[in-house]
Amino acid sequence: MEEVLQQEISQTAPETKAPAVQKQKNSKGVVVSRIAVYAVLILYSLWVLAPFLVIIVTSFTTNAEYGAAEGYIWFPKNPSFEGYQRLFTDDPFMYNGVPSLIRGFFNTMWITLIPLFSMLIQSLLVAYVYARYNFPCKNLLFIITVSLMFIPLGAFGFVGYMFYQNIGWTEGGAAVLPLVIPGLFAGAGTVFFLRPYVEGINKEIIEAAEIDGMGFWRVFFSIIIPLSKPALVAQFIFGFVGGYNNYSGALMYLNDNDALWTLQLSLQQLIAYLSTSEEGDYNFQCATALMSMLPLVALYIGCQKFFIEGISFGGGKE
Amino acid sequence: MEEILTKEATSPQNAAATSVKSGKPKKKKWKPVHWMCFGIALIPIVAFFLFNGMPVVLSFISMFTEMDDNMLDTMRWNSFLNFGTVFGDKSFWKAWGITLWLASAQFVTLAISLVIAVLLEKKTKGAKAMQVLFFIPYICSTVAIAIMWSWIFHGDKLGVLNSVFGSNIKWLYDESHPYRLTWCIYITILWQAPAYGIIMFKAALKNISSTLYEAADLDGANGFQKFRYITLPGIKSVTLFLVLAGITTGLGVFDSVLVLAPVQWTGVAGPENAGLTVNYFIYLRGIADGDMEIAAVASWFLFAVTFAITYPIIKWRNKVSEEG
Repeated sequence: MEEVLQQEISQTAPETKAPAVQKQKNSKGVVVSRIAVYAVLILYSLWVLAPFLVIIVTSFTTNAEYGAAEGYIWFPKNPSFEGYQRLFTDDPFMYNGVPSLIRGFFNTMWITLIPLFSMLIQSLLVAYVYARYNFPCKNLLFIITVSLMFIPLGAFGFVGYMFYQNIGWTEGGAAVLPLVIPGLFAGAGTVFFLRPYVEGINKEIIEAAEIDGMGFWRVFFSIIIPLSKPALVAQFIFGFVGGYNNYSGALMYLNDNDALWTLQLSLQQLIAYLSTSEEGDYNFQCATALMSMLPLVALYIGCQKFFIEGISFGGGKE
Repeated sequence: MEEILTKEATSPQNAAATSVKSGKPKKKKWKPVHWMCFGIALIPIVAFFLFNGMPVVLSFISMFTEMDDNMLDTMRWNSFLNFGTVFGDKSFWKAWGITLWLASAQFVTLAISLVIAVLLEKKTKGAKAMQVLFFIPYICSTVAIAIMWSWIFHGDKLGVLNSVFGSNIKWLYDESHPYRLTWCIYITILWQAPAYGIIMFKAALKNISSTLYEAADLDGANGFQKFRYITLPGIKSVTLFLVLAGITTGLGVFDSVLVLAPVQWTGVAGPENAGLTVNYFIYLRGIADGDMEIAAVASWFLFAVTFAITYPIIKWRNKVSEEG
């Protein structure tokens, strides 16, 4: 409490310079409202943290301890890595010695990253063309592109299956194609988002390069791409988080194909399997859930600035 | 090289020409590079029609037909029977009820995110660290979140909630209180969804010039007046965007219900279908049962409802961003 009050004093000190008289009058009310602000924020922090704490604690609690427990164990007596070890040894969906969670991670990586890179570069190319050139039907094409963006396609997530089933993209290994191929191409929303950004690139740099004899493609690869990095990073993060966490798409196409299970699919299958086990295997379950989240959370903590900017920046496109 | 320079030189006139008489620029000779640009600009449109347009058109046609194993060559007209099947299905309407119930969480989310974002902006100590924390739910997958919460809602004495309250309540599956499940799903949505809103609101609040507030202080405006006349107009556009995003995600709830209300052997999603959302209905009929015709009717209905609700908001938002 004292810290809060002290902090309060140090906070208001510089402010009092301008509207001095008023501030001092209701300083008591200000202190009370400050305390309320902290109370709400601390409660909200606990609310966000609680589920993590719960499964972190359980991931270190042994099966033996839960066997005799009368309630949830807040402080395990013999914390152990049993749950984490079993992730590598007792995985029921192990394939050639590789646990399904790790296989799922690598599947998710390539299924997400290949289309994402291709889509971003192509979208930037389209944005560049719109920003820099005049060409037949330019305005019309742009209007079409923008209106595509506003169609709420979310409702058709599942019925697309019929189309891919009819062109044979749901059988065996081909089942991964519906998750990869459509994403390879430039996306309307991303083009719309990148165009003003490319237009903002200093024209003189581009003109100078063109006078130096750089052609269309050289300008694109050695000037436009490097100068658009911040916008590309923003879009990349937006797409990467979406791809990493994509569940329904993987469920639809890859559920019967365990070699191609993505991370989320492996996670869900593992938990569904483990929750039927006699001993409970709560530590195993919680360790699985934590390990599935760890890579993205670690990446986020490491580059939070990019994430927060990327999401608030790239999110506004739709 | 010259092409580009000449193009640059002529482009203003050209732009004028196109804007006056829609379409054909006069006496313009397009060079190969311009046709290449035309081709590049076609990429997103062609890809959209191939991978989004075609499936959507097929699903539209399939609404009026019957197929064996969803194969197009077995398609035959079945005179609107599918519509009767879907609209006469009680569980479909129940799914709508559950979906709207869960979608209402998006409005609560909006309020929570605004409050938290405003509080974070109040020169709060530790706001940076808290912001980092508050955003974490956004990057967690819905599957992992559902798993975390299912341990909290665990149905026997070992569950966290039951331990705290000393109770023995089956939170997720109780035949006599089926809608406990819906509330549990509601809570997991409320845990995750504000993360995005907080970031978006915070970015918008930051953009409001502090001189406005200082001027208001000098004029003796109180906190409420400042919020009403400075903050609210400043966040109007982002609020409308979040409402749009919230409606679309709210009506499309799927991942969390699938994990928290797995289909029982009786074919019911949670007790008395208390976890059946519209998208879950579509998934069960279309993917699990393989009746794409039925799923198509439900999908188009979902699309129509989503579009009808969001279209006026999109219009409104465009107007707001033109003004601003």
